[in-house]
Amino acid sequence: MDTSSKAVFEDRTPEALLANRIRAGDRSAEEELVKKYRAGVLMIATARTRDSEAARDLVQEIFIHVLKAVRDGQLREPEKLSAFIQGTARNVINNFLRTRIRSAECALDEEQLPGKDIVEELESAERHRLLQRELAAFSQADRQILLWSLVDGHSLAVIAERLKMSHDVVRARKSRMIKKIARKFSPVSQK
Amino acid sequence: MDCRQVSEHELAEKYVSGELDAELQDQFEVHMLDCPECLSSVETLMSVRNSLAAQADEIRKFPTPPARRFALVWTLAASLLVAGVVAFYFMQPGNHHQPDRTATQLPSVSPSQETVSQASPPATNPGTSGKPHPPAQQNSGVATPLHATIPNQQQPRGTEQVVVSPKSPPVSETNPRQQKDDTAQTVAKANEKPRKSPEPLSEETAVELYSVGLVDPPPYTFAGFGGSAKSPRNQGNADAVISSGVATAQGRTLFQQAMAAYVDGHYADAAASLENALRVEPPAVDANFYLGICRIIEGHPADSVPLLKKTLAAPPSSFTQSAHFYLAKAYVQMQKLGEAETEMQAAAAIPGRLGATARALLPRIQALRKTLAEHNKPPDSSQ
Repeated sequence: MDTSSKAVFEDRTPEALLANRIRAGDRSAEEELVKKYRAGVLMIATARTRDSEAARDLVQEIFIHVLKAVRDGQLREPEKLSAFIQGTARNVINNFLRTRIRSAECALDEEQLPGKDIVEELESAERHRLLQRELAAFSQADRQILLWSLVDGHSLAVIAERLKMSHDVVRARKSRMIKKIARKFSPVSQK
Repeated sequence: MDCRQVSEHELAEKYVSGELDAELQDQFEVHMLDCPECLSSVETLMSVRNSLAAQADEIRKFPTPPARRFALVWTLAASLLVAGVVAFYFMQPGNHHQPDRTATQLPSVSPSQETVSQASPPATNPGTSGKPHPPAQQNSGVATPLHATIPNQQQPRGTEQVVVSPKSPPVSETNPRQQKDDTAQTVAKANEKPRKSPEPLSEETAVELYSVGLVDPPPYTFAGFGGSAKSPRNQGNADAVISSGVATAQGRTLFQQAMAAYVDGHYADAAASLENALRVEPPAVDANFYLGICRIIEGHPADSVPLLKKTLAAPPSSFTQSAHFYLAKAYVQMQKLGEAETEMQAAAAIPGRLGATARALLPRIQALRKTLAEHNKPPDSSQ
């Protein structure tokens, strides 16, 4: 495949098409972009800040930066839209973490970003309730393994030492629990 | 990156736990933006994480399995039971006789055993095992079925000493009636002791204190071997962290020797070499920092405080966040939770490898501080 045909091919990827539509001033394409990437960006912000409230604010800020950049043609490789969004998210979040000052919320006259869907919120609450029930069914040691691993960030070696178990046993138990939860809850989380 | 790699290397879990290095984290996030399945996995794991965080206090209330503690506790329980039975027996009318039988019923502790018992290291010394002992091995007296009557390790040891003190005349040489009275008195004294000693920490508090104060030695990578780092983002560029003055070749050589021992887990040797290195180049930030770490690991958190403070007094470097973090840990081990909170806040505010951990530990330190304040409140003030 020569360079020109490759460029044509890349321009026809869904990401490139979406970016080009935004650049052409298509407002529905902007909504589409936000809808498509909102959950992922929120997850990135939540994981990096460990602060769900700050993450929600940051998502808005991230999309403002992304949309402005795409509109202004700063996205040089439209087929790499995801990488561009991730890079923007990382920079905005790092800036937030550095300064620890939340930027004031902008009055979005033009950028009417869609808010959180009520269905999404209800689904989230339901998932939380089911998860609580599922976790309560695990043994105490299993819940400790998950807590120390996922919340406290301890290594499996440290957990194994603390629980007087072998490293492999702790790894197997953690893996089994996560697989079990993922099997049960994936259909709920995947629309 | 594809879903197979994510699954094989458990990248979603590592991502949620904050274990991925910067490059892998970026790659995973780009993949996640385009992959609904992986995003769904991360959402699920994050929900699990949040649910666990909501139940954290409840989960932490349960003690860890007391494997070694178990044997000790039941030995003590058996000893006290025997002492109680003996005391009860001799308090019964008509049982003032048979010194030989008394001698056989009392736990027979030889002088050598007594010496071993007295020569045991102080309960608060975490030793040189690389990590502080669990609270059960310290002086907090946690998680024992005898919790109400054995406030700490010293009490049962003391009880044994009272009952079978080698300074007491041998049982066979005493008058039986005198023996009965002495035994009853000593057992009564032993039973009085717990009432006089301060209330022990609750089991969950002691476990939490241990958990929060637990120290994993920070990684070190030799400056010249960046590619073979034990940690991807290391603090190993030693030559760059001499805060003032000029790094001397001798000082650097001693530092490298020290860190060779440190990497191998020989913290006492590392500390000795670091002391020598600091004699040659006292302001070396890296040497002060790692000597502070060695002191904590050797069980002397108080000795680590001036060293880590010296690290913090230098201009900001890659050690600044770590110094705040480990200083907070040292203060936790010393039960100075006010200082620990301040240092952990400082560590949480600085971007870096330990930021997420510091932010997670901060509320736990605050909760512990509150608990200990209530625990140390004089009984009069509550009335």
